[in-house]
Amino acid sequence: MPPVMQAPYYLPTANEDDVFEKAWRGGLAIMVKGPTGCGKTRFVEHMAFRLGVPLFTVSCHEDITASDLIGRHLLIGDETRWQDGPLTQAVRQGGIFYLDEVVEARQDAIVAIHPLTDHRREMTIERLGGLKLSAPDGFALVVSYNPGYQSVLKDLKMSTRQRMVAIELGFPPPESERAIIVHETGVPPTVADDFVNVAVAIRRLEDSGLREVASTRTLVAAAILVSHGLQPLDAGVAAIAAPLTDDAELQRGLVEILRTYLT
Amino acid sequence: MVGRVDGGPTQTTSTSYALFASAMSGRRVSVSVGDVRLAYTDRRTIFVPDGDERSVVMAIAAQGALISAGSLDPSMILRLAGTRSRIGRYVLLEVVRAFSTGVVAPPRHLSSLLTSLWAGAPPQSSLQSLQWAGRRTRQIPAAPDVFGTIRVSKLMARTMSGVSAATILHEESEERPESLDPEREDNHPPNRRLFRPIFSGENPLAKLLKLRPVGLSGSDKPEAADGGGVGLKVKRVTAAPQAGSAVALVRHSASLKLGTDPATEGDLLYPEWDHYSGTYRRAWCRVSAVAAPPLVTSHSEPRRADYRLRRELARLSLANARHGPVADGDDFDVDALVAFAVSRRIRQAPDDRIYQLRRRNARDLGVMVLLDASDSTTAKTAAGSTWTEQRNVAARLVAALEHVGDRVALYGFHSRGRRNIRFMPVKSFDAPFTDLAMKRLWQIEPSGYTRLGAAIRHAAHLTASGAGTPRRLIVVVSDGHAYDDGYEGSYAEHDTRRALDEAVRRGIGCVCISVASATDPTVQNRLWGSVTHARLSEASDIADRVVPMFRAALRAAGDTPRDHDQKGWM
Repeated sequence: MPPVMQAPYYLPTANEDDVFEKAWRGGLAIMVKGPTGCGKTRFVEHMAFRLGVPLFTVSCHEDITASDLIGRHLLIGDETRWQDGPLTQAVRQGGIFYLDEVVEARQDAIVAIHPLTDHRREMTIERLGGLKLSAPDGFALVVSYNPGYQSVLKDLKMSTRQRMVAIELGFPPPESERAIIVHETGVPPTVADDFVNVAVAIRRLEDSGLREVASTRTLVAAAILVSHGLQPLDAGVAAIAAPLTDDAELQRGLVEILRTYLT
Repeated sequence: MVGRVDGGPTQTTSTSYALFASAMSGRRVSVSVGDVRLAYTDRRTIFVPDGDERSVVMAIAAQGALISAGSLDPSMILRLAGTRSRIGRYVLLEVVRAFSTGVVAPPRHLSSLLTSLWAGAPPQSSLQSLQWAGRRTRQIPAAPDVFGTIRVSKLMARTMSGVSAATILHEESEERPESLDPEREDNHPPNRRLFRPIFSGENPLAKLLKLRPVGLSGSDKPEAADGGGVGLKVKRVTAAPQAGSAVALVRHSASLKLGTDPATEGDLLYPEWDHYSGTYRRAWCRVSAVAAPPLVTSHSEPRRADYRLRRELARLSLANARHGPVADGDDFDVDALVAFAVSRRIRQAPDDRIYQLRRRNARDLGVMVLLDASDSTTAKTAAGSTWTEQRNVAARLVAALEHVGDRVALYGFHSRGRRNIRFMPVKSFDAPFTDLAMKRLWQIEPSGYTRLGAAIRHAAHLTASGAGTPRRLIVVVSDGHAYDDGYEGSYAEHDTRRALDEAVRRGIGCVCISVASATDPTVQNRLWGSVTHARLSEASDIADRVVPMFRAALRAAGDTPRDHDQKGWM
């Protein structure tokens, strides 16, 4: 992969970059909360670049185990060979260790990060005979998740939550979202405005059967289609309405919303 | 599938406008396109005249804006007496105001129309719009016909539900003098005072109507059962069927045995929590399992596979199962490792797959669905009644849970006094959810009251004894209206919360769901207490909510210290 020379684009909507930087300097773990597609991962990538540290990303899923994070012995031919997991690599190299969608992981896997999140800032690898690794200054632990429903808040253990500084991201305000779409895709601002209007309308549909609403990511996708020559309405259907739901009736309703703003 | 969208004439139906209308209104509303002269709304449905798409969309946007901006709140509507033209000006001002807040953008055509109609600063509140609309000194145009109008009687009929709307019809009279401005109307409050109780939700008449006993005449009042029992001969009271459940099992003479399911055989006595004295009333409630009556109806609904709900539930509550041997995993698979060593020793090519993986895909969940079949659930709703919605949620849940491989049971219940709490089995943990079970469910006629505490205690007992899984849940589907003879208000709320807590302390998670319930949300919040609960507006919403709710409930049950010593209540 060619080296990234430019910071990944991220437009702060409040003081989130400042909080992130201060927390990183202070050696605190960070929790980034926000709805799907609002830019959590982009934000972390942006900050890692700005702070000049490598980023180790793990997308969490239910089958992830502590050894997936720390590392494991593999039998290869005649010998056993230890292989560092991403967490161990991040600790050795002093980078940002980023657990994406952390609630998807099982709690016992998450507990592996606990010793790194308090004053100890160290990890013990039992399978290497209790090897102790101390985290260097550049190391930071970042997790992201989508609170979604309120009751999901209970999904992250309190003992894990309290070790973190929380940064809450929402969808950007309309002007910022327009700027983001224009920057990412190069469509004219009026096109971006129309898509933002669509998103604002769809985001009011909390009780409608949609599990998620139109995110900044879907708007960017729609605008990319437009920048390659698709009509805005067709782009909106393909990138916004169709991905949000499989329900034919809901989809017709979404298309109706698109139509009012895009034609 | 991506639908091809053409610019030409479309066959959009009212349902496809509903989402747009909801986006405009900021709440769920439906749309009815049909034979009306001017668009209007009763806050649930927006009625628009049939016409070209542009005018339909504009009417929906304008009416939705009125809902969104609170222009149709009862307090405003009652002040809105006046001529059509005054209403017209109010509509325009409020639509302008709604879109000026930036909460949502107006559709394109409407946006240009609004700019041409109104150039000045928008009003700051509904009250201000009302004042401006009433003043003849300001030159304010009326809203164009395409925006529709406000029909006070429709809004009032909606709000009052049942109280004669005729008394306020004069409010809409077109001949009212226009000089009445809000300040002056304030000098004539009796009208409003008359209606205020209806809006505040404190209307005693409405409460009374809801709570009216059904089928209880003086002679069969629950107290009558108190002295000599309900004609059941109690032979002996056996000890609790298991430690910690604190249930007294009452066996009847053989002729009166009810049901065949061993777990539900006989009547059971349960305590009830009296928060006034801070003690349990021992053996206070009698729960009887009524055998399913012979089917007299063959009616039920065809069971449709609810793929979405299945998918959601399939993610939930999985236990670890080992898989292997695989090439890369957490642990050695010992058999494969031995084979590997042997192959190497005899100089054959060893099989590298010597690891085991742990995957979470074994089911370990048992769910008891407890369905409130009391008379209060027969309250009518837009789509039928609270009962039909509740029944629908229960049927969907049970079918989907059974399909993904969980243990699940479904019981309906209602009560007529503390000695007469009836459980109606639809499906026990061990029985399959057949069409016959569906018919049993459809045959339940809601009646009587809701003694929730005892029902929950019995459900917890059935779950503890019948589920047989490490993780267990009780899902109470109820309108959240706990009421029975000598069981109401804070007494009922405390007992219900207590019963839920007891279940959680036994390691059984509790989830409370109400669907299309007319019960006040604050009452429900008090009733369900700390237990995970949700108010759904219709049965199909369950798929969105089920996983976080079940997870939270299971976690709560897992985190709560188990209470093995419940002797306190006996």
